Amino acid sequence: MIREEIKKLNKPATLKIFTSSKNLQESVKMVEVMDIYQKASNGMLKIEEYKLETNSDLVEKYEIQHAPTILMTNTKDQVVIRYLAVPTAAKIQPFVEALKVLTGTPNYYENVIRENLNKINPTVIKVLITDYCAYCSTVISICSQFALASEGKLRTIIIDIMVYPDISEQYNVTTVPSLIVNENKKLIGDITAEELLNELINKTL
Amino acid sequence: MFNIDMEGIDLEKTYDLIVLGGGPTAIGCAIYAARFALDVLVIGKVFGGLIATTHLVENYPGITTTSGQGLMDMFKEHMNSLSIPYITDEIRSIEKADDHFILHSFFQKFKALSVVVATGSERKKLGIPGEDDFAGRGVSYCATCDGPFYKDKTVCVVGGSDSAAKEALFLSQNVKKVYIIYRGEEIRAEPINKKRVEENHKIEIIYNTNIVEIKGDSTVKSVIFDNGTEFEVDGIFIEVGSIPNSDLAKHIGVKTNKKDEIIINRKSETNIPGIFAAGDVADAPFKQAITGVAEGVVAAYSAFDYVKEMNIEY
Repeated sequence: MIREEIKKLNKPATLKIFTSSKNLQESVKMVEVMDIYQKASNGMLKIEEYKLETNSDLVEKYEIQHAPTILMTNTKDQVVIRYLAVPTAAKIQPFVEALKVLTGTPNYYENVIRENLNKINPTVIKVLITDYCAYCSTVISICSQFALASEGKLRTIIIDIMVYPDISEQYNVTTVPSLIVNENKKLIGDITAEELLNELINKTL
Repeated sequence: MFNIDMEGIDLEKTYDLIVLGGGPTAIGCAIYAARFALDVLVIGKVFGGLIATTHLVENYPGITTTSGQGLMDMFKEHMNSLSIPYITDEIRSIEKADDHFILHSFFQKFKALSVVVATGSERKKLGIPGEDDFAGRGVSYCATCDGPFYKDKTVCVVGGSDSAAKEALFLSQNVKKVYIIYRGEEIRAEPINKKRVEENHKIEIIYNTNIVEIKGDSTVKSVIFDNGTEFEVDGIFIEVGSIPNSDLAKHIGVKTNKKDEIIINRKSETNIPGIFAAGDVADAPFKQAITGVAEGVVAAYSAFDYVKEMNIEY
């Protein structure tokens, strides 16, 4: 499915991934999967791998707290989407969608997000997911596309809580998908794009 | 073309058919519509619908066993092979304008000569104290989503349907104990699943019982039965039926029955020319994925006939 989806990428994109010997199994898996993406992309996708232990300047610059991590940065080199999850299974499609929009495909929500940007505070949305969660793919898509449309104001972090159970415990999460917004609001279930935008605009977060 | 970006989507176009929904009914309808050479667009709130939350599908003819997500992956592959565009969004209103319909979401506006409403249903709540308070903190409506959080814990499943039985079976793979709490005297699962439940030593059924309150602190700790007993559990999975998502259609004047199901005829037609309905949102007496798909396919054919008669070129 990776090969099918990544073929849709028609402009070059570069992703930075950070790996760590302290999380070796997941890091190896991440590198293997991203290698599949890169090879199947007909040269459109380039992966730059950095080891946490030997790139302290980049770790500090991009505020890397967990590895492996994938960074999607905008033209201003701002990290708009951060993946603490290996993009396999149901995560493939929203991952490739995000790459396409990152490289110029129009964003479905862009116009409405831009119209409301002055009403939205800078926000970090953590999307807590699992691989077998039926609706996580849709919520990842929505949060990713919002971040891409927001000129850096919204930042999305996709977190696989089967890999990072400490994060689900930190936020007392027992259902997925769960959104943790600016560390102080939890939104659960298959939230729609309209619902999320209303939450952001109404400054309840 | 499964997308949330704008690739392949033309907002200026009047589609022959827009299908509303993300489950097997909607996708089955769209596949046939595409094969009828209708210019079709699918708009769904969540891809997969309710069936995507089922861990076990054994009654879709041709497929011995798969998961709900597995079934929808096959539907997605079929849809993609026909380059049928799918958008994740929710239509808030439909209006009739001359010879076509205008569909409004919060983000975009679409036009179509015909519409199939395959918006399915959403899970019914118990409506008891504590249910909303503990949503996501021990109250769940999706065992496949949240079951893994209850490893080695004790949970209950409320309901007596085949879906409730399957939820219990799925949960039993991970948890310490599952109690099925049912108001009736005998669960209504398919005989094959009923037998599996009865033979599963981790599952126990408590009959003739309703839960009237959910209690806890940071997470669910117990439920209160209607006989006054307080019963300790770590999680509660609610599977007590569903409510058809027919409000959108009702607002444009589509007729529904007392259960808010859209009334359709054998051609999947509603009372409004050009609007068709199919699947869990409609008034079939027995609702399964395969029956919904069948109605969706009939709706596609009826939409094809309808559009052909209009003979409009855009």
